[in-house]
Amino acid sequence: MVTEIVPAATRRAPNRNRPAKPLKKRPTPYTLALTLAVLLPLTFLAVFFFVPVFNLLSRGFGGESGADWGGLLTVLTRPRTWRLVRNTIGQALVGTAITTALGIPIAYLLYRTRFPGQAVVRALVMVPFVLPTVVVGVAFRSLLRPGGLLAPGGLLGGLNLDQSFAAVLLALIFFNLSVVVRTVGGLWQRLDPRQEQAARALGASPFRAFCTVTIPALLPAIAAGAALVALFSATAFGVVLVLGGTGYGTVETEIYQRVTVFLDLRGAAVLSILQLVVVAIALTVSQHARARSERAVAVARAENAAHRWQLSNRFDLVSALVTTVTVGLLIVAPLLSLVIRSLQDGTGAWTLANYRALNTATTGGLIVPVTTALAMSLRTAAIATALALPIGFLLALVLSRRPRSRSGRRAISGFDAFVMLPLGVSAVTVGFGFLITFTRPWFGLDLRTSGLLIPVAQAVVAIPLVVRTLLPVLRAVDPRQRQAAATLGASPLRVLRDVDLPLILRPLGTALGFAFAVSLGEFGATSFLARPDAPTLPVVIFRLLSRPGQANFGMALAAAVLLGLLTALVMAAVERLSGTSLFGG
Amino acid sequence: MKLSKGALGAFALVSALSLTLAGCAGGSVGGGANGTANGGDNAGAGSSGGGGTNAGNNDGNQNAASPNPDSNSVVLVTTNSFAISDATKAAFEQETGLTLTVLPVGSAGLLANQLVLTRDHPLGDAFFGVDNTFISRLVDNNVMDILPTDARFVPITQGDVCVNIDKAWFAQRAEQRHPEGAVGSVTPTNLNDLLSDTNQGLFVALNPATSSPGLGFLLATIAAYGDPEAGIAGVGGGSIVNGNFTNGSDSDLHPNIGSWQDYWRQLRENGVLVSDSWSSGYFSDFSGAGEGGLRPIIVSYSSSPASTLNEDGSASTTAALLDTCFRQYEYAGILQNANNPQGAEKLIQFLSSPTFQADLPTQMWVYPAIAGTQLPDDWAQFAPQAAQPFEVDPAAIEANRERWLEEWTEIVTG
Repeated sequence: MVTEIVPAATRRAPNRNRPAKPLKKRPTPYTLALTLAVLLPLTFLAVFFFVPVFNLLSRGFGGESGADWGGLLTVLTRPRTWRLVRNTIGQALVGTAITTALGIPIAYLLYRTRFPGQAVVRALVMVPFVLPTVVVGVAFRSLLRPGGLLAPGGLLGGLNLDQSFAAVLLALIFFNLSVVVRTVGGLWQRLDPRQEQAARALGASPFRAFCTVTIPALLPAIAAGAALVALFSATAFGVVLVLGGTGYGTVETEIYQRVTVFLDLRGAAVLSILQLVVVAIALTVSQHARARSERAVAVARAENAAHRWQLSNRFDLVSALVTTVTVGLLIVAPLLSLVIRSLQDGTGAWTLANYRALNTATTGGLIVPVTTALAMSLRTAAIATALALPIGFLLALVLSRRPRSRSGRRAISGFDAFVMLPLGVSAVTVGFGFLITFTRPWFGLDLRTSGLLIPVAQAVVAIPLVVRTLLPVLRAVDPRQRQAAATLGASPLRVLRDVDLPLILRPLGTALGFAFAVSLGEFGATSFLARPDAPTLPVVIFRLLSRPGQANFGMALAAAVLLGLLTALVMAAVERLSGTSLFGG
Repeated sequence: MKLSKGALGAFALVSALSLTLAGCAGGSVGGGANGTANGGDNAGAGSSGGGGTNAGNNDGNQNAASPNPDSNSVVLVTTNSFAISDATKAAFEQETGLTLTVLPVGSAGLLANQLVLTRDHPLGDAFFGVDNTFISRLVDNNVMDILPTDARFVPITQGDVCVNIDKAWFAQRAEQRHPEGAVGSVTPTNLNDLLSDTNQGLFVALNPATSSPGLGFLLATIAAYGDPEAGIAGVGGGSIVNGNFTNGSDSDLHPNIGSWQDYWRQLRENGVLVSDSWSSGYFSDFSGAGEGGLRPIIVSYSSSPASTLNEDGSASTTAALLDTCFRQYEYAGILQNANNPQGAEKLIQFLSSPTFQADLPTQMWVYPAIAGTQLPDDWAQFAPQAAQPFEVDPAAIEANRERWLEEWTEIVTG
């Protein structure tokens, strides 16, 4: 079962602090470290998420004049409110179901088999995750309008998709596919194939072995990925506006409108709480699915697990077909339409003018050359990642423990849901919460205008992603593996280093990629929070798109292509680092 | 590995702490100064600031509280569409000896709301970019300080939201229908024309709830056809004749328009398409943008035709219908509680100066608000402003905005 030998203890004399014995009253360094591991991330989330959000909500509920329950009732009795809730839930449920169903075979193909060009496809799947929604909206609408690939009479003729629920769904799949592929793939590639082989040897059909051995082992990751997609789908903003059409709205778009147009903090507060209820339900369901399925599974080194892609293998064939169709139609087609247009001028002639123009500061009042914006984007993303990764790692570490007591398990499970909440709260709520919370300077620096809050806000959103990526793998580590190491005399830190760390290096790479990608493409907080320095690439794209003229439009698309390319490069680099050299192949 | 009781205890403690902290912060928000402003590292201060009125915290600490304590710098809070060339910025800094910091946040509405919420602790010294659809909110909430002119805000830019048409498309249609060369008879020129059968399914409007020009166009229709509930009598949606809007020569075509609501109901029946944003509508739906859109009429700006010139630059392929326009102004002003009100005053003076005003068309794609400022050639030639735009009182906009947007959504989607 345990496929890795722990070499740690053999060379070392038994440690003074033997953690194998039950802990005494006196705090050991281990207890202190664990306490710190809980305290540090919690403080971060409390200061930069819970307090600001609470401040804004409480101001919405009446401020100094006390609670205003009548206002609550007014909002709750509007038929419009319930239509929005229905849309939100429907969008989240259907979007998640389809994305998960399509994501699993793709994860299999990309992480369980080997084929030439795999790294390219893996990076490609990741690109949509960072593209600004305005650009994706433009790309999709060009495919959906009459004459487009996905339009009536087009390749998928007969579907009238433009400005409808279905168009929103397509875009949700486009954005979130990578989440399922990455979370499921991360665990799948570490899954020991010998269990399935054993089932086959005992006479199970490949399908039966898959259903009874592999799928149950993967359930924690599937549940984690689905929970993330559900959250992203429920709180999707830009695509809903662009593709949903007038009158179609969700709780998220309504909150945005309440806050930014009407300054109706009460309405926004009520809706935020409704949204939190929806999110809490989604989290509970996924938690339930996970709790039932989560157990230690045998994990192996990656190179044992993946096999060369074979035409004769039915699984390989089916997964390749699903991947080709899904990635081809939903990812490659919109991306390609962007790339092609970015390489043309208004008349359709091929040119690099759009890219060249990006680097001249004065054109179209761009204010900064694209290289400056690019550097700004990278710097912001680096800070956000540097914050999110250690904090998320600590949280995942704490959450992966399995306390023996019932109350301990409850605390862990509650803590788990708590950490996910930032994904379920509107960016505008957090942004405005910051404004009324950090009204006094920290060490002479007004945080609100320093630009520092932007990477912080991005980190808050990235942390749940980091946690969800690391947790399935950490939880899958057989606790006996850690116990064995401890019994052999390894200190807790050493257990962490020699047992946990090698196993999660690759998922850590995935998490890093996610955090970086989230920050690179982020536009919400970036546009809500004031910043004194150069704009990031998504802001430049937005500015270009809000000006008339084909040249500006072409430049906006060129900038979007650059952003996508940058993401793909970062992903590929992370893949390479965590896959080979760091892991020690 | 078992989670130790100590760690669990610590977890419980921190949870309790953060909840208390949040509770205190919530209690003190209404009082102005905020107890938890310094965040989680001073939980003690947070709990002591839990009282309702702790405005006293402000006193004696002005300097530390200023985002920019030296009076040598001035901070402008503005929207994402603000742009200033390096040369112009340098000119301001040289002229005044001040360092200019620009803080852009989102859209005009977002900016207005942030200014209201941060009135007691402003993000900067001056603001620019709140338009006439939102300026009342700043007035009502007493966000602005008085300028030397005794006004609280001054217009810096203006722009006309007008219906634009794809001239080539209409020329082609005219040719198909009247091969002898009778051009122009079916090309729309005013709001009434958008209801005619010949223009069925050709018009792209923008969602006024999510788009600023969308709101501008809605306001144009409100001014034209009236809103009895707000006491606005319509001036008519026909062409301007002798300085007056008319109901159009063919008023028998649309006799039942007693309000803007009626107008929009008929627009809907005539197949209006609503786009969420200007960029989505203009680049995806409008045929005149050359990006494959299919509809030749759209809500845009009077300046847009300057960016759709033909190859030799002798003519624009699109035109703005100048009898359909709503004028937007963007204002600047000094913020209450500013650290450097003198600097803010100088900055606003500079924003009104010829140096800055002349830059506006190329930098921000809007017209200068100060009369007599030189326009770029292509603007002067291809992007004339409306002689007589529709107008709606800013106070009426603020008072009726929510109802108008709700009714509009009902009508268009209903």
